[in-house]
Amino acid sequence: MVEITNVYAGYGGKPVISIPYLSFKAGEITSIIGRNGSGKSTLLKAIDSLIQYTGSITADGMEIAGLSHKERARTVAYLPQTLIPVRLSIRVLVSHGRYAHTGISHRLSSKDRAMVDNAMELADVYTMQDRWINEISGGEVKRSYLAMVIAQNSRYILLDEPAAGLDISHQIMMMTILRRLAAEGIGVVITSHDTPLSLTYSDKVCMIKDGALLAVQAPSEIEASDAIMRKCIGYGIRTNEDEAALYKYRLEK
Amino acid sequence: MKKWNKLGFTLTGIALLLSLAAASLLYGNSSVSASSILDALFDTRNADLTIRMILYDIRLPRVLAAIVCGAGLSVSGLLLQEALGNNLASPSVMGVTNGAGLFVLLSAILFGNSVLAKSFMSFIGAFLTIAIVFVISRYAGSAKSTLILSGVATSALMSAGINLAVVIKPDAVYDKIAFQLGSLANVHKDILTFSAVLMIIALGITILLSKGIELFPLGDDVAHELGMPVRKYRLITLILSVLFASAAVSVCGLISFVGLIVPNLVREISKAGFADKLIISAIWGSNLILAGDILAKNTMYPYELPVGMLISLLGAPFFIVLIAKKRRRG
Repeated sequence: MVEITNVYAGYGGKPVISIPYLSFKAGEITSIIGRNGSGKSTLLKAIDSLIQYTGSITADGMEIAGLSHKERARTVAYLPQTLIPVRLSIRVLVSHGRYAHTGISHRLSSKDRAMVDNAMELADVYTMQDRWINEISGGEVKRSYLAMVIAQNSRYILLDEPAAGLDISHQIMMMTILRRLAAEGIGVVITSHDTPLSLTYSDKVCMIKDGALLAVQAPSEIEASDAIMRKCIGYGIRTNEDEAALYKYRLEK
Repeated sequence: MKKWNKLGFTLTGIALLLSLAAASLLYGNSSVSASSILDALFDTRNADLTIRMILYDIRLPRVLAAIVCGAGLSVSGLLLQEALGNNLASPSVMGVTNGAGLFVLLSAILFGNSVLAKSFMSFIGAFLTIAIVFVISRYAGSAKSTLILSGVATSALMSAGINLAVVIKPDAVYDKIAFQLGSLANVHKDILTFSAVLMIIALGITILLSKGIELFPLGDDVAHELGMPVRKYRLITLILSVLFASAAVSVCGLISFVGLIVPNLVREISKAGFADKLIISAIWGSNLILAGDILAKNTMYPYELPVGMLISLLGAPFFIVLIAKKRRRG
């Protein structure tokens, strides 16, 4: 379990988020929702020790900031929202996911290569593994980086807006992959502006406004406490009655 | 543009390197025939003393110096570009070569012809320059263009220092014009040996760190999340880059643009990973200076042009094309 206790984090000494207590369980998908600038990305960066913070952030009882770089990478993986279309083949990029698992020469073992293959298959980039990241579409770039993070085989995966920029079928595919990872026992934490999508696929929703935690609820409980959701994103949420609808939830004025 | 296979690119480079080295060894400004040089090469004991001197004291050091300087400057440029995420970075653009050059002159003024002092001061000058560039760009803003402009400004400052040193102490270097423009005409064998050994060690360390350096282009956040100590790696990479550049400058003076031209061409032409780019850049950097030196010796025969001047004639337009290309790509 990732536990965040009395955390203040921000940039240039100015706190953006203030969280008394929050936890993410392994084997679950937790969505962090909130408006632009509410502190969603800052929270993920603090968990991955990318920014300075005060307080405590632990993973399975270990202070994440106290881990070595490689131990931290084996514990927590993080994918930022903006990904660089590097001049590398997809296979090489995904292989970088094994960086924290390899020795000083960083030579991949047959087990590492099998994990890279498996990650590429899961993210649906296996058949295009020799293509270059700077020559593929934005959605394919995102899936390639997701494969890299999967190959990293960390116990917790933090994804900043993983479905943004993907077409609808790949959005569903992305969330299905994340569900599969959660079923394998990995704790998945995502930020998302697409509330119906994230509610449909999440076990828990964490609502943030102006850096403060409003509530943590299961999607099924949110409709009953509609006011909190309205305070968080400005709209209410309703269960979709239409069974043919793509998502289980819909937004309401 | 069709990309070259990295093996093809490497082997072509090696073949060209051997051909250029052979041409430089066999043909020069003296009237000694190629067959006499070949005889001296394979039967040194019985060779004429003059021919032996031409071969072992003039031509061979010159060829080796071209290889060391070309490889050093290219690898230095590649490392700077990877660590800073900016293809416009190079030891000359960032002022590293001028900084190293200024301190080589200071070393000559303060400590005479001490090989160790020259090499050490060259490194100190190069490192000090990159530190100044970072301090300026830290205050001026973190944009990539700011870093380059800080480099250009620092380079101008170091260049002014070189001119001042040359005016105050004209005999600080054997041929001040050759030093300022970059030349292989007066290679000091001890400095060459010292620089070559230093570069081989630095190359070994770079190859050892190559998997980490390969993560820089992914951006600091992704490199960090993959388990790379980004700041430590960047500092080590910059130190290595400075080491390569300063070792080259102490041998051949201020040859510009090699570190800009070669890594960018290698990146443009081949689809190689970092470790391959490192080797290919070293080979093709050597080729560029070897070819430049052959041209420098023969273009205005019997006069010899400084090789750095010829490469600058090629490098300056290349820099402009690179800027235009970067602008077009947004």
